[in-house]
Amino acid sequence: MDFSPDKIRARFHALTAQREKIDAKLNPLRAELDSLVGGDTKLSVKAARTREDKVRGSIKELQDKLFPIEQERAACARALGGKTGEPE
Amino acid sequence: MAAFSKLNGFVELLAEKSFNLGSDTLTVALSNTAPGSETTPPTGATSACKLSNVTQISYTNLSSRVLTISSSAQTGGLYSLIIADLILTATGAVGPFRYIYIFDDTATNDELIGYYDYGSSISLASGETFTLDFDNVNGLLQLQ
Repeated sequence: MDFSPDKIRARFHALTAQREKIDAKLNPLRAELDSLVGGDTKLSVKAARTREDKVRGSIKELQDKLFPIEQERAACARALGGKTGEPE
Repeated sequence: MAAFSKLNGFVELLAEKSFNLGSDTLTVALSNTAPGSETTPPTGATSACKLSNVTQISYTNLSSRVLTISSSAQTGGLYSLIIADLILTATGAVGPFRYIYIFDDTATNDELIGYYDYGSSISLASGETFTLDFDNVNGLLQLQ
């Protein structure tokens, strides 16, 4: 296996791209959660709470996918001494 | 990893339903001002334990500061909040910062949980990362 800095750096940026795809799904859910929690919704209180439960469940599922990606990204960053450079 | 200082107001806020640590958007805020030196120190009254009382740096060249929650669960009555390591990547100059707060971006007033003091100011150049290395066994915090 090739653990050269260039390979680790390439892996770091590939994982970052994976993270960004998941973030693209997570961010709208987080924004909706903010609105629901803040009462900034036209839904009834009961409907808002039901929707909030569903949104929270979706957020947890996506975070479960994100966790191993983030852990591996951190390992790459540490191996590179923080010098991850620009994406290619 | 620097030691985590839980803010006193957090415990009352937690008891009064300000947080859902399992699925709220937990985020880090960076500051170069000592907590006790803030105009309204967030280390003081519970009502002061919020993001608006933190002097933050500019995040223009910094990647996402949102934390990834791995587990929010209890075992035998001991609750642990496990969070993935966070990699902050700079695409230009960032900082300086010395204090990293964790706050709840979903909570009504962006209430604070606690902070890390890294002992001296840190700056990042373009292409550099700063990794928050959380304890993946005992978690960010435990409650019993």
